[in-house]
Amino acid sequence: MAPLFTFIYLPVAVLVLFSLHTGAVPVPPFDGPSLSWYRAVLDNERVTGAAWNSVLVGVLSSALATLLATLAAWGLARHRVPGARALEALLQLPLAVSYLVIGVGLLAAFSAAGLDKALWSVGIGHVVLNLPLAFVVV
Amino acid sequence: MSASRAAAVDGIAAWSAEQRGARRDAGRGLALAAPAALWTIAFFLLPAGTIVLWSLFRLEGPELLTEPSLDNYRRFLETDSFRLSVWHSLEVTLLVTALSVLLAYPLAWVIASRIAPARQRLWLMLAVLPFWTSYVVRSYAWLLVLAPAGVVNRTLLALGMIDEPLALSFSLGATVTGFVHFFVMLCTLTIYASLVRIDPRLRLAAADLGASARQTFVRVTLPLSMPGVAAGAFLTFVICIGDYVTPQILGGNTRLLLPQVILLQINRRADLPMAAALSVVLLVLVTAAYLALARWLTARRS
Amino acid sequence: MPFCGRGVGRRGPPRPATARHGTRAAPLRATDVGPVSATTSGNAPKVCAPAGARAARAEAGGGAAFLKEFTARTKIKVNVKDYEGTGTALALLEQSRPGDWDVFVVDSTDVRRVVERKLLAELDPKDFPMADIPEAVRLPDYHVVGGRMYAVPEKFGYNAIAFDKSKLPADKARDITTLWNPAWKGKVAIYDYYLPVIGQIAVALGRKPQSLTAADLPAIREKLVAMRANAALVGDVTTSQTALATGQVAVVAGGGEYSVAGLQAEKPNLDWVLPDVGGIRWQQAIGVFAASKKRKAATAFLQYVLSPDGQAKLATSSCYWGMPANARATLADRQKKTLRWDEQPKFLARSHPYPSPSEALDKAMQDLWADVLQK
Repeated sequence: MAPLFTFIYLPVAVLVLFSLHTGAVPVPPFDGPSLSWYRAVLDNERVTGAAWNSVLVGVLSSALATLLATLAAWGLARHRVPGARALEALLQLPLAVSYLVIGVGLLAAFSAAGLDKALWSVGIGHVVLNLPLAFVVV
Repeated sequence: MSASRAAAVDGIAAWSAEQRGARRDAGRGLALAAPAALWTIAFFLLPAGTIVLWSLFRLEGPELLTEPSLDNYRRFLETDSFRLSVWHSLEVTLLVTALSVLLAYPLAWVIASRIAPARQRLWLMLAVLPFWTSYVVRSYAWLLVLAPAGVVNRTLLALGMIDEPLALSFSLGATVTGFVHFFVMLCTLTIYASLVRIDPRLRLAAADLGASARQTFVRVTLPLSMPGVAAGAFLTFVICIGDYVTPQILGGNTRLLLPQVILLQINRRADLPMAAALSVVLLVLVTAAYLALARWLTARRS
Repeated sequence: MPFCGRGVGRRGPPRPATARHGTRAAPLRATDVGPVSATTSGNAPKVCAPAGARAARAEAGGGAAFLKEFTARTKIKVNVKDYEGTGTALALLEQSRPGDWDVFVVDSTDVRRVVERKLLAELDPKDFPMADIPEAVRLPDYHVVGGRMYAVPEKFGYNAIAFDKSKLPADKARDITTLWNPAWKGKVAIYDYYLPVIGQIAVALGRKPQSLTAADLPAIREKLVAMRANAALVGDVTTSQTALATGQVAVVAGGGEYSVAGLQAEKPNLDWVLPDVGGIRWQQAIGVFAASKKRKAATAFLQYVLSPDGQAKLATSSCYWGMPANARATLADRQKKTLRWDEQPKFLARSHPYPSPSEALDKAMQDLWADVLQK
């Protein structure tokens, strides 16, 4: 157990440790601890902007995915729908396909439709990926 | 006569009322499931179909030729670097799947059987907590750990096991390590879920019938936990073979894997048709994995 | 004013224009999976800038300081958008409306292409300190089309050799054969960009990168395979830079001042040099969009970029330095030493711009690169 736990926590521990390092490159020996890099991150508009975008996309897409998934799970579990098994399979299908393929597919489809790539298209991709997961859980 | 006819009419009326009720029920169910289904069709099935369609197009210079042709697939079979990437991907993915399952099973088993039920959730959470850290960042963290001046090398040096730091990063080994790290946690979750569902009375029954602990495990626990193992293995296979991030960060661009080659087509060549064809290849591999594990995966949960 | 151009403090040369899609009919857009940032705020100028290689690290505050200074002086706010590869930029412009962008920073070798699309406005040489720009950098062949000037050089640098002084002696660094010398096996990192690396090998073989043909490829392949066998990794800017800094490798082929200058203060053992046989030079130019509605502001920005002060800041912004185009840039002595200021005339004489291959040759080179990477 212990060796496995060490293995599992090793990179995270190193990461946290070196986030407190003072130097510009994360090379031992460890110098610090210092919160200077945290300050730099918070000062950097582009990083905080990107972080905000991530939060936005994450929250909205998971909310949407959960909503759709819950509705669907409720519908299929509490009502007798013909073809329920087929529907269930359809909804779980994206799980079995790697995110890369989903991304390529959406890229091709959006390109062909002449749509611009932006945060909302990222959001759509995320919902596609998360919907099956939410469905299975619910 | 009229009584039976009345009964018949009643019967028919009841039956059709039941039918209407069932239809209404089905209607409601369908309505609830519709948004999710439509979303999946629109943003998953259609794009998937688009991929297959585009794989039949070709890119000649700046022009897109839309005449269907299997040229991309031919190129795939003929080009060394493409075929090699599939081979490397399979190698890595099978190795990672095997290692992850082999490491996760004991961990899941210990949590499921050696820890008090009240605290199992807690330990499970502790065991997979790093799962929730960012995938990209974790891979970079592994670079730090495996660096010449990193933890692993320093420990080995201090223990006197090596004289000079080993070049651990930017290799197949580093990629496998990064992958296994992630998937061990995933498999632990699925295997645990399955272990915990095994009726404890079955184990007692086996013991009653005179089976030793090892026999109980081999004959009862292991087979019954296979759905969890299969689920973990399948998810690992699928996610691993399609993953671009980890090999890109830890692999040092040595021995490119299929997802990296796919993205190369997109980023550097803007050759979406070729990328689509390679994606279809990826899909075929995933389907093959599904068929191989189907026996255990389609066991319906009751 | 929207300013579409290369990132200030860019991280090395951008990806090449992968899609040479000239016509609107081409539905494909070379996508960038790299960092993209766009801040827009109403009337603020919009800058479109190449983000350079796929560096995952966000730009440190330096780039922002360069822009803040301009805003402080002129009250004009500048918004920047990074892009990777001229192909991506062109796609982006195709998707934008005319007037969305004001300033463009682009590879000098691609200026002609952009001018052919009628995207850039003519510039008046009298507005800029052309005389202060070294002749080799002025490159009228690239920036002047049909007798009209459309872009001015902004910044340049080298894809040469970045190395760790404590591991590799300087004289070995100047010797190009070190890269494929088995004595250094596992100590080499290759910058993952085929154009400058192939160009560098061509120079080592005595060929001019600008006049490469398909017949040269086999000889290049031989050296590339040897280099690859020697290399520990092939990586983007961040990866190769980190590998050098952590001591994993001793030399980066294709590295340059952009990869080590920012770190020298902390790690004085890191350095860069142009090989004695010569090397490859990357260069960026800046221009104003023809459709821009804020020409005056855009030109003012260009003038700031080319002023000695602006140049000094641009050259040393954030973590990725470069050479200022204006020889009068007000750099501190220490900065000049880092940038090997004194050796510049020699370096300029011995360096070549990127190869700009034909469509077919470009594809062949990319195939070669992908093939060698797989071994």
